[in-house]
Amino acid sequence: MQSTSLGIADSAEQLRRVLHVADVALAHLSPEDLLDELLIRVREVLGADTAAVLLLDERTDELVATAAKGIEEEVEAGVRIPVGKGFAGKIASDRVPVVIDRVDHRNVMNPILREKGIISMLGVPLLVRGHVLGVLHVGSLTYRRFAEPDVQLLQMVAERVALGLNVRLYEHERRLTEALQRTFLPVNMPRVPGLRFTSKYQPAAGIGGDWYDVLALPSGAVALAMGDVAGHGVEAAVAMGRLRSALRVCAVEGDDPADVVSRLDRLMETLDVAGMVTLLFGIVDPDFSEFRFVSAGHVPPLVLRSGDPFFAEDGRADPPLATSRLHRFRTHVVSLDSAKSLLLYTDGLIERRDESLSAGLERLRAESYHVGAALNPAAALDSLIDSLLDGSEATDDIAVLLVELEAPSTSLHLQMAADPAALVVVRRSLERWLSDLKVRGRLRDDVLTAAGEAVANSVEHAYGPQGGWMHVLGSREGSTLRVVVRDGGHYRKRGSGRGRGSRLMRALMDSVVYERSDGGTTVTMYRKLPSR
Amino acid sequence: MRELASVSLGRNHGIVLAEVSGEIDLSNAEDLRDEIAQWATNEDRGVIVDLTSVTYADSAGMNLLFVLARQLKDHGQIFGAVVPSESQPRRAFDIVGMADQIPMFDTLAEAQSWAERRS
Repeated sequence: MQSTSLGIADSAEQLRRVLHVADVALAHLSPEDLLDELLIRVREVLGADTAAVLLLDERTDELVATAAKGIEEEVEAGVRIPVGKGFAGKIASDRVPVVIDRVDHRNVMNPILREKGIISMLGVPLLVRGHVLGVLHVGSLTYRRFAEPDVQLLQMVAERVALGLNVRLYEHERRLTEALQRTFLPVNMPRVPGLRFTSKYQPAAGIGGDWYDVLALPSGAVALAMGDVAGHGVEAAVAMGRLRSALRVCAVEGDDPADVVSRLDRLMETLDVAGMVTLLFGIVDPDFSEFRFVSAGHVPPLVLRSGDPFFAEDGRADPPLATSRLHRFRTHVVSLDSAKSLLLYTDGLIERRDESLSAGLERLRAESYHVGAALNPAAALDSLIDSLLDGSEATDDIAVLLVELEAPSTSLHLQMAADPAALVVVRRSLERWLSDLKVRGRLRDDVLTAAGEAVANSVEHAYGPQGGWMHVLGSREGSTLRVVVRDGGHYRKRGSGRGRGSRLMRALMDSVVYERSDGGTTVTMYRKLPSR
Repeated sequence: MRELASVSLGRNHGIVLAEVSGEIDLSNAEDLRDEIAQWATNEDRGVIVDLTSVTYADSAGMNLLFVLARQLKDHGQIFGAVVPSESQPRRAFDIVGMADQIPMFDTLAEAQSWAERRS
């Protein structure tokens, strides 16, 4: 009876002490301050002379002295202990508490512990869901037998600490990786008239190793990338950032996807990217008639059209990046005639533990029918991911990029920043529009030239340095083509040679009508099509 | 990525030959002009700009030629352009009567023999 009530009193006291330590773990402190404050209290409640935390570095499988009280030298010296070796290493590898009554050179690796004159030690693992975060240990400068209640107390403390630390470290890393993520995923997709981009990024835990990119090239072509770096967290994010920048540089210098990817492959060593990288890189040509791409060990792109969707690859993908020196990558070409959209993705979308890759691909093909015709592509991608996961939790990151090609149309509507770089984009759109209307030869050139002059007028004269918007509309009314260029600026005559632009417009079109008001300038031009 | 336009520059018997390919508009005309102008030295007799491989040129492209021609003329140097008839640039250039002010040729050979005769 007596012993029981004493037991209860002991437990209550123990609980009080644990809470005393644990409330620190919940305080809003940085991970470093948190550990410092924690060790002070651990030392207090256990009446120990020293206390230290070593955290696991997963890359090297070593414990790194991160915070210490009474043996601060340990942290200053940056002590690293291999998992499995010595006192702390053993605790981490066996995931059990270890008590040393009398320190002996054979069972302690760390010279600082010996030099300090620590006699007795107790250490416990910091565990979160069976996962080792590190080791927490206390020491005494006089002989002391750490008994079972001490072990239990330190274990309870370690449990709370590990949880708090995990949340804190994770939070810290999450904020960091979110910032990094912004550097490797496009925040805004480029505006490419005639194409619509929709993407989904769903990391499995924290942050993943998938990334994608869309780059509008001045030629009117569009480069697309979808990649997968093995690994997670800050390191994978940094690797992706490097890869993305390098790929952008390579893409700007090359015309052939095989050249671009080969160049990136040769840079891999310099980029210091550990782990396997698969990449799909391709270029949609300026008139959207074909997609030329390279698959470096990546899952094949899917072409959606009115008929059966199909994978744009002959089954002979090249190896992942940096696997064989000086590999010559091959460019595949797929026609986009009758294609509605292209789907690029990472293997997380189709991977399942219990099934082969080809079965996963087939499921994707079967489930993707509705994506091509969806009115709301973002919702369609969500439901595609849902139906492919089929209720199970994603085990890998999922990245999906849908590129929709607008159906040929007899009318055209563009809204662009009034900027010299917009001229080529407008020209490409007009070219596609005229080609859809089967307007060719000299007539096509005339309309392009006249419209180009009207747009150049808006770019040059409508706005000050702040810039503004302009609209370009094209339509066919019966056998007459109509092109409208509208801006919201005040016409400012400046420079010479603009008179030539107006002369061109009048000479090349049947009629040109200007409307200038405070709200802006509208130029409407008509040109009759030859009767067929 | 192809640049919108590129220019290859050479020199033959004191005549600079600038072969431009691609498209010329407001976004690149000034850069192209600077590139060509910088290549021509005081010792050169003149410049021939070959636009045979230019698929599109607007009034900014015309401006490029006018400004170059004036700069060279001020230094007593000659300037000619190769712009094949039936091309988009030529049709546009003809509308503003550019051939009245700048010697214009269908082929590079014609331009070169014109430059020979002028020496």
